[in-house]
Order: sequence, then C-alpha cells, then structure tokens
Amino acid sequence: MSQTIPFETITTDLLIIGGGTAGPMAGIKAKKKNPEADVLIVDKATVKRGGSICRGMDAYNNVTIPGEATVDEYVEAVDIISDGIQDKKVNRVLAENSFQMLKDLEEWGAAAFPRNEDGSFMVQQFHPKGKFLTEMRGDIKPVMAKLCKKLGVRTMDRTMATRVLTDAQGRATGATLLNVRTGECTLCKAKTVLICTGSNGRFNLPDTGFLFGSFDCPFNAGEGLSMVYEAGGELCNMEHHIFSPMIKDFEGPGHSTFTRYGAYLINAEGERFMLNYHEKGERAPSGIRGMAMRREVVEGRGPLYYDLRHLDAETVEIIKDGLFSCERPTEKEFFQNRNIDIGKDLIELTVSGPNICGGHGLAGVKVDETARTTVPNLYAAGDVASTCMGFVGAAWVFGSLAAEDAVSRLDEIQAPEVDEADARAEFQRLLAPLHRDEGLEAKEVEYKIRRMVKPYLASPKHGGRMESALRLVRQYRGEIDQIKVQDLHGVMKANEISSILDTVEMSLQASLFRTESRWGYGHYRSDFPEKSPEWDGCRVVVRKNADTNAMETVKETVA
Amino acid sequence: MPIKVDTEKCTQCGNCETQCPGDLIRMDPETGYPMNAYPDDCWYCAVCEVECQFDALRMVFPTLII
Repeated sequence: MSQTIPFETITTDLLIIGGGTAGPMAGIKAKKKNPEADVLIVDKATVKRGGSICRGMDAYNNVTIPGEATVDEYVEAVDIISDGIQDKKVNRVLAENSFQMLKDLEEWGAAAFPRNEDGSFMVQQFHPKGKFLTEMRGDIKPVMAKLCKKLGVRTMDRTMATRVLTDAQGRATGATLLNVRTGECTLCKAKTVLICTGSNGRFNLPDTGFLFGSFDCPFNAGEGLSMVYEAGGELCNMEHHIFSPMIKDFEGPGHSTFTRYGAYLINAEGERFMLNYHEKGERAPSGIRGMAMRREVVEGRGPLYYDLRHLDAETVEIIKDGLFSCERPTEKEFFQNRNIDIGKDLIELTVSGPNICGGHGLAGVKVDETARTTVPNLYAAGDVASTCMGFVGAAWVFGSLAAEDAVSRLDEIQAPEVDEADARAEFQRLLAPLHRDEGLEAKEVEYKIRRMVKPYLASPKHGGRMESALRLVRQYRGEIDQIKVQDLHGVMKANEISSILDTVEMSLQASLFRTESRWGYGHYRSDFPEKSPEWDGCRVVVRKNADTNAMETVKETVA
Repeated sequence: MPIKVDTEKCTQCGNCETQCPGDLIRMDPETGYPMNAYPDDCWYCAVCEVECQFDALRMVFPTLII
C-alpha cells in the first residue's frame, strides 16, 4: 500500500491511554486538581467496561487502614515478597495514599467496603505480615465512567493507542490512535501522556489451549509495555513470573479468597503438601507455591485440589459471595456446569502461568514515586507499571499522583511538537496487514508465540533453552510482518500480537541476564540454581539502545 | 455463539455491542439481533449480560472452557 493514510490531529493537556482501573481514577483526579486542564481518556474497549476489573473487584488487596496497619509494615511486607527488589520510596507513597483511595471510592459510590458489627473494616492478612486486605464490593467502573463525564473528562472509546510519539529532545508529545470500529486515524498531540493499559494478559498459552482463557484480561496484550519501550523508556523485573493456583479450565483471579479463608491445597494422595515446602503453607509467596505445585505434579502426586470441606457453612458462603458477585462472576456458572459444590467437593486445580503483571508481580514499566517513567512527560500507572505487587491500590494511587503531577506542570511544558512523518509511518505500519494480498493467519502466529513460553521461558529456566527461544523470536518477528487480516478487529489483533512478542522477548532477555535464582519459580534457573548476593537489591532494566535500536539489559541497584 | 439471544425480549438496542470489552459483538445485518462475530476471542466476562437491560442475552462459555 503506497497511498498516504489520512489522519486528523487533535490536542490535549493530558492523554490517558487506557480507561480500566488507573485511567478513570487519573481522569477524575486530574479534573479535580485542575478543572481547566483538557483531559482525554482513550480505550480500545470502553471507559465504562474496559480493563481487568470490568466486572468489579472482590477485595482491595493493599490498603493501609490507620489503626489496622502501618506504612512501615507495608513497605516491610513488600520487601519480603519481592525479596528486596522493590523501590521503597514507591511503596511508601503507595501505602501513605491508599486509604484516601478507599475513602474516595466510598464517597463517590463506586465501591462498598463491608464493615464488621463494630464498624471496623473487614481486614485480613494477605501479605506475609500486616493486614492490608479489605473486602470490597460494587460495580466500580460504570460509576467511575459517569463521574469522569460529569467532571468534563473527554473520552474516546474503541480507540487504540499504538505509539507514543516523542520530540527531538526525547520528550513524550502525544500518540497515534486508531478507532478500531471506523478505521479513523488520529494524531493526538499531548503535553503529558499517562499509560494505563494494563499488563500482558496474553503471555503464555493456558492449559486449556484457549488463547483468551487467560488469568488476566486478555484484551490487555502488553501494548503499554511496547509503547514505553519504543518511546525510549525503561522497563524492569521482566524476568519475574507469576504462578497461581487456578481452577482447572477456569484461569482467573480471585483464588486467594480460598486460601485467605483457610482452604487447603492437597495432592492426589490427600496430603496438605504446602507445609513440606514453606512454613506458611498455602500462604507461601506465589513463586514458592508455584514451584511446590509443579513439583507435586512432576513427581506424580497430581492432580492437585482446593479442599474446603473442613470450613464451616458461613465461611463457605462468604467465599462464594466474593467469588460469584464480582471480578469473574461467571465462575458460578462454570462450577454449576461442572456440578462442583465448592464447600463439599474437591476442586481440581491447574497452575496458571508464567504470567507477567506489574500489579500481581514485579514486571513492568520503571516508574518513580510520582509514576513518572524515564521518558520526560510520560507516566505509567496500574498493572503496566512495576510497583511490586501493587494490585488495585497502585493503579488508583499512582493514577491519581501521575494525573495530579501532570496537570500541575502544564504551564512549564511547551506546546508539544510532533513530526507528522512519524505518525504517517505508524499508520502505514498499523494498517499494512489489512492490505496484504496474502499472508499468515493472526491467530496461528499468536498461538506459535505463546506456545513457546511454557517450554522455553517458564521456570526452571535454562540459558541454552532461552537462547533457542530468542532465535524463535527473530523468526516470529518476520511472521508478524506477514500477517494478513480481514477487518479492523484483525488490525487490532495484529498490533496486540506484536506487543505479545515484545513482552516475550523482554522477559527472555531479562531472564538470561539475571544469572541467579530468586522468588521460587518467579525466576528459577536450573543453570544458576542459587540466589546470588551479587544480585541482592538489584533489578534488571530492559530498554532500547538509542544507537543500535537493539534491546539491551542493564543491572541497576534499587533502593 | 457464544451468546444466546432471546428474541422475544431483545429490543436490538445494541448496548451489548457497545460495551463488550473485546469488541466482539455485532448486530446481525440480516436479523438485527446481536451476535458474537469473534467467538474465539471471548473472555466469558459476561459484560454483555449485565449490560442488557432486558434480560435478553446469555453468555455461553466457549467450548474449550466448558
């Protein structure tokens, strides 16, 4: 295709890419801080229903409620689960601001936080120390979308951002947008840009073989990670993988609910095996639990199960209410279809993962305590950012802080300059799969990329195997350039697949670079099976080399 | 599939089409009723169900999940 693709140019003060969890909070806080600021949220779904919590959320996993827990305790708890690989300043800020988010959400009517009879919050221990989890209910997103509208936040639904554009000084100055329904191309010039796209829900191939049967939202395909990388930003901890016990054939979040309320993990012999691996049993860190579960299966003691038969009826009802009322409520029908009564029957499990997510794990865009990335005027918040198990708290807190910082600085930021040739080239790249006479099926290319993850990249990792995988990555890059699609939905998918491959390559490079083992199966290398003091307090940064354009990894001390 | 539409109740308002997070639902040009144009891409979140004000639509689990 040689003709120039027409595009419209628009401007804004703060462009928020992604209207899931962090995005609407950012929009609301930006307008409350500076009502004169022009704020635009774009989402390839809709602001009302896009993102990982499109059906709500059963718990606020990491809120420091005064009288229940302290900021210091939170930072210590994250230090334990991250094995020292955290930016303490970031998590201190998260803890300091997390309760305000709860109060805001409650005041706005977006979420409800059930209380005990004495009026106290229903807090539970979810971290290795301290009680930072409180039950949460409510269909959050429609309320947040409505509030955005009321405050004058502009929104563009069904609009996918594909590249963050930068000026000659390397500052973020906008993004290229595609309406995935109409095909309309837009160049959005923006003084500041906030990425809230979620992480990559389509990383590995689930055991079901169903590409969209994923633990995390599959419509988040790592585009934010790719956009920051292409804009010259840095990512970190991309070698860290999440492994979670999941209901067999229904990979989805929320199963910490089982263990929080005392469910046992048992093997086919009926043994509570986790106590053989960690003193905290079922509540061991996820990497340890993932390692234990895989070992049980490999050594012939699978399948594994959740066992709730010892729990009283009231506790089982609380679990059911949490699981079936929000986040992934279709699980209720799933259990009914399988004739599983979760209080009476054993629940067969699979081990989800490896997964990549800044909210549930460590991998994501490197940000500071104001959610600034290493690219000037570019912010990142939510699952796309590395805050170390920041969950919804990080999305809300850093969405807020990023937005407030951005709209406070508008006077000091000059009008954004964009080279329109960059935008033209991007639209050309983006729409090319639609205009090929022949080519490869997008679904098959995605399948090949994701089927590589478990055998080549999951723990136990090995340098030789990962080098082989990098050769496959190079092959798949060529295949992505041959994808042929029929419609705009296919264009969206081809772009997503490119980001999925980016994420895999980043994770491979970071995993190769970290020549030690840490976080259980979070990063376990059979060729470097021990934790090395040389890596204590150090994280792996992935970025694009400005001179060669090649992906590079560097070691960095994190305080 | 994977949605089931009760044509007695469905008003063809298109809210399910508007809000599906995966942008999978289209109004069938022949019947006017919603259909899942990309069933392989469904996350079975059932936003389509809760967004239907007329209780006219049921999400159907993908075959690989049931």
